[in-house]
Amino acid sequence: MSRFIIIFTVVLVGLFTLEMLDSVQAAAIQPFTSWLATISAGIIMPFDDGVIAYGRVIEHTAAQFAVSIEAGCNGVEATIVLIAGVLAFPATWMQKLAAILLGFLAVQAMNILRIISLFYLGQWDLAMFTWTHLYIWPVLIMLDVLIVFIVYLRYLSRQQAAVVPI
Amino acid sequence: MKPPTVRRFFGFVVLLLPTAFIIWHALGSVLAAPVVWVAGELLQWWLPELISEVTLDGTRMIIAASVGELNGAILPAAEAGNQLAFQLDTRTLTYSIPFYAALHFATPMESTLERFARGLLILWLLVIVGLVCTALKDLMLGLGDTFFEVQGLPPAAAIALTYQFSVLMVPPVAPVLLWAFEARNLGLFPQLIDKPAARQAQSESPDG
Repeated sequence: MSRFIIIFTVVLVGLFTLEMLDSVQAAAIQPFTSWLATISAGIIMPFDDGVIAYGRVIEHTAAQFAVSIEAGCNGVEATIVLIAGVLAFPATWMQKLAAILLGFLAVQAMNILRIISLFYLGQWDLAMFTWTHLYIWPVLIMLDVLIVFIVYLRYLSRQQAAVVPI
Repeated sequence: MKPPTVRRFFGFVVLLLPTAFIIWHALGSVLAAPVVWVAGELLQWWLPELISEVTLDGTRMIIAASVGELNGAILPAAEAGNQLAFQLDTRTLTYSIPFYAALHFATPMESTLERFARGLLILWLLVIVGLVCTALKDLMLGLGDTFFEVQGLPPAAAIALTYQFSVLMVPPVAPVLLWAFEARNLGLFPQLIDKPAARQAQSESPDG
């Protein structure tokens, strides 16, 4: 348990600090966030032709409402938590890598759902948008991370059961 | 107590979350008051040159600075003829409480209220740290050079990083870690991570 806590904390704080560096923000985080905005808009556009995306902004031209995806809204922090948990738990490197990649996809799928839901919620009621954005969605995203991590632990447990020596 | 299955556990959590958030919203300043009081005392003790008063307005922590602004210059409040104030939304930190409550009460355990109270105390301590970090960031951005004239303050990068960490990471992660720590020996974890599968495979092997 103490080994898990130490590795988890070191990786969590280390990756978070790395993410906050200006150079990392400019080279990786901001382009990724723009890409996330484009993907989200790409999912909405076939159903709503009033939507455009530029940079980190998704705008509804008819409703005259726009959201900008900022640091803390791109799922990167949730992914860092998942990476810290996976790296801290004993497994092979292939298992860890697979868990991080699949977990990243699960977190981002949830995050795109979050962006789209907030985009429409904001057009309906700004107070509800603020409340959901600041308090509800961070919890749901972290719950998603927890589910992914528990599923990963179950997978590891079954793998161990399958290779019990005879 | 019989541990729940994974689906049932997460189902309970999802069912409990709306109730927990409604109670948290209704309690409002009751949950914020203790942490704002402690954070306010800490800030006034640490930065008496900059802070004259810290109060609670609903769920907002109001920091009244002992300086004001006149023609773009930061001056003592008496000279400036006004007083700068900063407001912090405590809910951006205390939403960890309903999240923890949902995880905690979805997990069957002995002395559940006592354990919840201990967890709540730890979350309150983390919220105090978060409020202090947020206040430092707001004062740094609002007061500029005047802020750094105070001796013994951390560098700007450290203030920025601890603020980001305490707002972006701590509120969603701390409840999960607290819950995992208290549930680790309660039979839930082996059930969640499918230890029975491992035991079953072991018992079915020829040599047991």
